[in-house]
Amino acid sequence: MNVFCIILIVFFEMLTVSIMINKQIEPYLLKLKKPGRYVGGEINSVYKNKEDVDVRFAFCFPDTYEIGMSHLGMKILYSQFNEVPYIWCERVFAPWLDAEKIMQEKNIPLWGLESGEPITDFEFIGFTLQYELSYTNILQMLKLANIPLRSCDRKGLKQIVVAGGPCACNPEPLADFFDLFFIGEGEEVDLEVIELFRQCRAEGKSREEFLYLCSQIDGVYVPSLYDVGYNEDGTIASFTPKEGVPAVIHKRIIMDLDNVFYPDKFVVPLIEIVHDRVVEEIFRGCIRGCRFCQAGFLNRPVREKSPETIDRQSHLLCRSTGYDEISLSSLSSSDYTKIRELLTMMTEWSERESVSLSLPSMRVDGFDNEILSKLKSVRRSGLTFAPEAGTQRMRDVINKNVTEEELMNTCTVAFKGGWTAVKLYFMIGLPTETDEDVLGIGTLAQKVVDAYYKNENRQKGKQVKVTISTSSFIPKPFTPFQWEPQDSLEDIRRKQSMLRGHITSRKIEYNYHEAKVSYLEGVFARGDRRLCRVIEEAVNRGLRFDGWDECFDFDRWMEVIRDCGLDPDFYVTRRRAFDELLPWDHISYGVTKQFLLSECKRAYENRTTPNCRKKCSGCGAVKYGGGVCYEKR
Amino acid sequence: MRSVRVWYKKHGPCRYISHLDVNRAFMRAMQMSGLPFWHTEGFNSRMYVSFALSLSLGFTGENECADMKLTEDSADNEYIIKRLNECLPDGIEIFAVTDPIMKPAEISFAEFEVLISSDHSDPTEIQSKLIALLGREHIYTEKRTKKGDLKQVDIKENVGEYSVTAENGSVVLRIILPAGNNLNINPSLITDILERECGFEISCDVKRGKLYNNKLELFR
Ligand code: SF4
Repeated sequence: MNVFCIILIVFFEMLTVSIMINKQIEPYLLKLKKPGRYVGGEINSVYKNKEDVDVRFAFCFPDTYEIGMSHLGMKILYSQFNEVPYIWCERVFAPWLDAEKIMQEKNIPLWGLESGEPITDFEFIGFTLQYELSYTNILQMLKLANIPLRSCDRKGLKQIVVAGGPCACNPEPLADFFDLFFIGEGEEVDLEVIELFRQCRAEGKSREEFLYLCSQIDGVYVPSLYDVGYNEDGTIASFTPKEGVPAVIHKRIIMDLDNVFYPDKFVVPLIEIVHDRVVEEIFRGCIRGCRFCQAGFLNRPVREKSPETIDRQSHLLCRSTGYDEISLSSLSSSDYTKIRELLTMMTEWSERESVSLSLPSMRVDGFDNEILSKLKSVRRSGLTFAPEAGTQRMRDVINKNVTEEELMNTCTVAFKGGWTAVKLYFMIGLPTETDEDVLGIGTLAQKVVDAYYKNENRQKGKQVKVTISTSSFIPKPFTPFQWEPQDSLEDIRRKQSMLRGHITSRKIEYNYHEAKVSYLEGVFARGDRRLCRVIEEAVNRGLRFDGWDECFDFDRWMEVIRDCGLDPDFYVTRRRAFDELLPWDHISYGVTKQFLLSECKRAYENRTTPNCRKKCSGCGAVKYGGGVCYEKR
Repeated sequence: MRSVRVWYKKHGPCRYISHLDVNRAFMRAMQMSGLPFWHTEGFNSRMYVSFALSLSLGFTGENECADMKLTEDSADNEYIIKRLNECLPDGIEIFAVTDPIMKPAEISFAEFEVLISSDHSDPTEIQSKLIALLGREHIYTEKRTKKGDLKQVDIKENVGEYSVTAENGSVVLRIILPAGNNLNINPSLITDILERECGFEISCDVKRGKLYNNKLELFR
């Protein structure tokens, strides 16, 4: 009996030490909006004994808890790191303004949600770079953690600040702050770097030696090992690697998605987050080659997961989380080759277990009743399509191979099926765009309204509602439009008001993105290393959470950029020469620069390029030896 | 079909989540458990769970309860406790499953324990202020009604038994207050007045304990 009691006591002690709310913040939690953001303790979060681990990894998402926790990449890496016994990976999010204020006033350093301990002396501080407007939050989080911002100011084998994610494709505006960037898909290379770190520490190597060795790993970019020279006009003259450092950094890519790590558990947040459901990736990449779409080019070639794997993984995830909704995620869900097979397989258990399936990112032409009937959640969220441009010519320029007829057919099917609301997404400010193209957006929306009234079986007394949203086009690195000028604020505003004036029907609602936000995003999307100073200065002047209306301060930003001696238009509205050395030219995502160039020229000629499944256009990604490039056509 | 009343504690990290979040945590735990819980009928069919009394964000709960229905009689109470606890987050902890005897609508009172402390003063000052406050004939405050307008209420009229003591550097108020469908007096109404009258910031740690019907019989 006694022995039993002792075991019980020990067991309870283990349980109670595991969940640690940060002691310093706890007295103030009830003063904060949504204190649940700061306490941890969620189902499936991982607690380890810090004495038992070698490497503490702070996985930082530079935005609020609700946004970060919705992010699939973080869930994958969190589980994968914690599978390794000697690593303890904890989650860290940007504290909202109220918490930030208390942390500054009371000197509370930023902590990891699991241990409740400051991340200051962690071995690794990792950030995921999802959007440019989160850059200031990165610096703000480092500051709150009492970690020196610049890599040159950090010493010894700790505080290795790393980043990955889509924005790492042009890491230059952040080059001074990070020790290294992961280029491409992180699942394998992250662990290689951590393992190397352990070795280096055991062998008593220096930080510099460690970073040099990192630069020898495929997919790792160590910015401090390269020197940049500039021309008088501000363009880049030279980009020189130090001795023994590779001149080009090649992305890492996972070819076999059936055998790569995928978590069987997600941390289930205590508070409601943006995407509160199981997310199951069904394939990576996109066959389409829309010329504005960075994700499409960064993730070539398309690689699919088998229906069996998807079925098994998502079922396990439902069981370990209690979620009753699965989102089958990809860049263009209806392009999954075995979609029918998959849905049939999954509905066998999902219906019985009251789990609903949703397929976001459907293409206009991939929509039919059989698929729809299996997707309960479509009904709830309404129908959303992204024709992206208003005229056929413009759609041909951007290679969005969707015709007006297809859109109309789809809407008619939808209206017959009882839908009354349709959302359409467009971009304005696209290359070669004319006023006619902009007005075409309104005309197209009107045709959708008309299609509704042509439907004889429409429900009496029900009105149709067509919502159109326009965002402003931002040219991105590694796309065929990487050389293009972005529209100025004035251009965008003129086009927005012209389009608004063109819409007469009260059944159409028009929303548009604030042009200033896109402009600032444009500065960083194609920025260079000189912007590091700008970001640091912006944070010093109190700018952060730039993606949030509460904090976005355009005038302040312009002031900072000019005070740093730079011209924002140099980055945003300037047309780059095809032979200009671009800030990201030393990074390779497998798609050749010639291919991007030829795509750009085809765009000028209003010529489309067939998708990868119809015909290979020789982009260069074939070198990875798999995926769609090797499918039978 | 079998109805069960599930008794749980809410504390730790779950102290900081809203009633709605607790609701969602239960739904997911029920889904995860694989136990034969009954679903509501209709298009948006969901697992049925109904909470006796919501608990404010920030309060800990010692004796909270929720009603659920099982479509089969097979699962025994001990197993339900074990299985649901495995599926619930740390900070929601089921300690009993019983057959519901009273209706949740009968709940009329609840017992609270409020730990009051302040960086600005020692407990004796707070203690004497609180004793004086509760000793008054009337304690008026404004309270929002269900319709949303402000109404004057006399808290004192509704205060049941209470005690004020000093323990480990804090003042402890134990008090029974109206709670339920008809009238709710949140203990923070009292501590808000106390804070105003003290003129300095106090911090309060509120724990809700047992629930009672209008005859002050234990809610079962
Ligand atoms: S090599 Fe051909 S098939 Fe493969 S991704 Fe490029 S264009 Fe598509």
